[in-house]
Amino acid sequence: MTAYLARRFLLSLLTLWVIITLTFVLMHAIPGDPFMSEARISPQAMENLRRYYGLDRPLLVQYGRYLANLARGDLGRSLRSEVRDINQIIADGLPISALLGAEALIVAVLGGITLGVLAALGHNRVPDYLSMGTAIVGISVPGFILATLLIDVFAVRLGILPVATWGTWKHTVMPAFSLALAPLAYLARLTRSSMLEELGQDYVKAAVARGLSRPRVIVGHALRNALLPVITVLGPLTAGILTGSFIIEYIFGIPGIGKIFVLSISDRDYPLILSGAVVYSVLLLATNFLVDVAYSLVDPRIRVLGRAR
Amino acid sequence: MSVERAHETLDPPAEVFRPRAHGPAAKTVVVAPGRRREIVRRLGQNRLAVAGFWIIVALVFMAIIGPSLVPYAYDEQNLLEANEPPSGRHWFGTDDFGRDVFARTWTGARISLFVGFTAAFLDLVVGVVYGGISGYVGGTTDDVMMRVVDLLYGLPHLLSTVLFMVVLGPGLFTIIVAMVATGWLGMARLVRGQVLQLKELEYVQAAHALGIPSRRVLARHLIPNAMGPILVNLTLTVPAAIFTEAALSFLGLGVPLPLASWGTMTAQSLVTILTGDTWRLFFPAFFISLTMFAFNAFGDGLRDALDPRLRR
Amino acid sequence: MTLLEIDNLHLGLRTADGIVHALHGVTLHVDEGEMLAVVGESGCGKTVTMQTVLGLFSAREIAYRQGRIGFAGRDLLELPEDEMRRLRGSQIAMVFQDPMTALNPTLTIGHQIGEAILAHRRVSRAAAMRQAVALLSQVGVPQPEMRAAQYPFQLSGGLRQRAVIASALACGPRLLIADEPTTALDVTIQAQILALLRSLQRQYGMAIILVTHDLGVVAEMADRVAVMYAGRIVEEGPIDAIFSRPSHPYTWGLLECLPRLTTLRSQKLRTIEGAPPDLAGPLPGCAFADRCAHAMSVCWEYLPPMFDAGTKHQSACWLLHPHAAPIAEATRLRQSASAPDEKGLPRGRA
Repeated sequence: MTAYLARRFLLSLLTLWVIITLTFVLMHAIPGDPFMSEARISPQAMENLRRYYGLDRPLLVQYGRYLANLARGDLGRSLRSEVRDINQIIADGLPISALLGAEALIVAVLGGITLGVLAALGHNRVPDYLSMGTAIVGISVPGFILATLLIDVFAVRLGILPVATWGTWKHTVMPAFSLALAPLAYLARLTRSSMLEELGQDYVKAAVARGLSRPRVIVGHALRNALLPVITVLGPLTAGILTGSFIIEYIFGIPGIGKIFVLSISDRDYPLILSGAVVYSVLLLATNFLVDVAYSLVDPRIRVLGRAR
Repeated sequence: MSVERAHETLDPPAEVFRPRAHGPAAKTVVVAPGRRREIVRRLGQNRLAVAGFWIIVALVFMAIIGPSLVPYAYDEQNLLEANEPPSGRHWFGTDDFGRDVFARTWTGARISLFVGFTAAFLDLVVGVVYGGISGYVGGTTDDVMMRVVDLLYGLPHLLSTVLFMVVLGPGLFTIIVAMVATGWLGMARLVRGQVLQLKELEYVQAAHALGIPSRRVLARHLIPNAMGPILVNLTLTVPAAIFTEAALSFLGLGVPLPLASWGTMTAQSLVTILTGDTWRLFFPAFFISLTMFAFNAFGDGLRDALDPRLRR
Repeated sequence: MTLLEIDNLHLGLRTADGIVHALHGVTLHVDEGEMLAVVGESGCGKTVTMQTVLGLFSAREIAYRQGRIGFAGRDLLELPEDEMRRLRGSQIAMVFQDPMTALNPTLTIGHQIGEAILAHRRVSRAAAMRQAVALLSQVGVPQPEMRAAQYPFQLSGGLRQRAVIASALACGPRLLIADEPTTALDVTIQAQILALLRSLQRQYGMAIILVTHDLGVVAEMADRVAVMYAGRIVEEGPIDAIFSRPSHPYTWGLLECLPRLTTLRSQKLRTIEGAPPDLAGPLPGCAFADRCAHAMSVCWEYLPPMFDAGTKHQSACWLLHPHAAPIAEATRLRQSASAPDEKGLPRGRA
């Protein structure tokens, strides 16, 4: 098992390096430099700024310095924000985004799995149609559109939830729900098909033939195995929630790193864009790695054999 | 129910005990209907998929003829009629510049659908070529090519698309390029998997043994059989592309003026939640959702119909 | 003493392609302590019958169900679910065909055997585990403690099947249904498993229904044989009667298909022409008529009832009706197959 995990870890590091390099190259492929739109700066001040940000050095040197800084955990300075130190910016925004993301994830996982199991157990009857109907709508309506609908109904017309920004738990309801709907729907469909597949397997019939009670067979045997593919999908699912949070935070004006990242794009604040990409990638790779660990603990075939099957 | 006669009371007359050669229907040969017909039949039984299909047809139809149904151009401003709710004159109402929302919606449909189809199609082309070669050649080449895919896969699609957009600048085609830049990965993996599976099939090995050249094998055997999952993937990529385009619009990276897609229309109409003239927001948002739903439903149905395991 | 009695069982199942009329009036019985072999080709309804006995089909899958299944004085078809559950695994146990799929791949062997015990007895977890290990040892699994902690994929096919048998024996059932227990195994392992079943039968005094398509297996093991075709029992009787005086054309076909030690290289292997009927359609007469070389008009028009073919030996064939002319081949077969050796089995059988 450890060999398997070590391999996955190294792959993650490699991926991270590729992403960093790619982002760096992309940023510096943009013609012109960030200060050109600043009409009010004198040439001398511009020169100073460029030197301060190290933009006067050759590309390779800049790259080297960037990597070195990253290794030290220093993400650099923002060009536009009031708070210059990017590390500080991230530190301010990350807990908020993390909270929002975690809420959305919990809702999606619990809701999705429950809906999927109910659909599978009530196969081709009312619970199935309801769940799957909801699910297909859930993956079709983009989160940000749902957000606008929710704001319209609950905030503007009914006035029971705040329109935007951050503060109390009420502020988290609509954004978390908007973020959670698509993953929830996806999980519901996946759980349902996985569950149906397991329920059709011989070992379930054999378990019934041994006289085990229905709940025990459903949960202890079928669901247990049905959740394995669901665990593997948690990595990309979290990725979806993270990327979804860009727009949701932007719409709701939530001061998380998502909103910061979005603003940095329109501001062309390159160090911040770069850092945003790096932070997101690290988060995603870390999540994927954790999912790998969890899966290897749960699937005995990996624990024993060091590989799936 | 089989026709049963009671055991005890039976005593057939002597004549029927003469030997008889087998009846004309001696051989019940079960003819499997042509594979394609079978797939279409199963698809047809899926009401949701059929609905999805017709919705797509209707949307494409409306995208083509919609704007010509009203006497207004999509960018025709008439400030006297600004912010009017849907009425007999303006079926979808007008926006704050007095532009007819119906005309704009269907012109926007053209853009959104164009982006969706083109991005999905290009994903297909790049993915098929890359995956096909990787799977067919196999060996170290395949390993290396797939490692590259694995690495690029780590970056979320929206994130990389955004980054590419920042670099490439605004524009209809830059959006498509940015989306395809990492969008082809899924298709490549799928095609490679299919090619690998089919390569192992005995009849392909048999064809090889008979001396049929590789290219013919690939074209006449492998590709047609792999078409199924590829087609499903293609159908499901379209809504993802439309979603990404809409997301980009929300981030200010959508199609540039004067073009307007559903995404940009929705993004620009966000403010109407507070001002009250929500029809501007409703129509493009509704149609984005409807389009995604239709493609998802149809794609799902296609996937189920192609599933070799006959399970409801 | 009759233990299990299936009486005129009709069953229709819902499938994606409509209703399949799986069973057309199955009647058979098993006595205490005896081994009944149920023989037939794939799709004839053997497994469906067994799974109906244990009530393994959900209400949704069943289109119609008629008849009676008597076990220990009760009709299993009328039994409420919770009583049925208590019966499963403890009074009637089942061994499935493929041990790899019949075991949950993510749970240990010991856990799965222990589960079977805990479902019916009020014992502690630890006691159940100890018993599981003991059962594994009883079925001939070496190093049972180690094996109990392992997962199915860590065991060979033969050991897996032994483990499955162990879990079936967990509560000392009165009836064991073994559905093609050796089909998925190598030939050498087959012999071991069959020997195991025989010895367990003697040890526990339980009745066994051995479902198989392999007549060779039947010859070694069974006390009685029931031959099944297209959802009906077409012939049934004691083993020596079936092998020495087979009385149904289908049975003849099955026996002829068996290659023998005396079969010459130059002889073609015999088959039964045609294919079993499609069970989705109606079957007015004998289902085998289309493939039968001795078919008469009556065979297509009327369903043959069971005729007596000897002591406790029955066959559902119009050839046994007084009106039917005796046929040369039938006589020839009977003559060539008679004069059995000392085991009561026909000559030429290994």
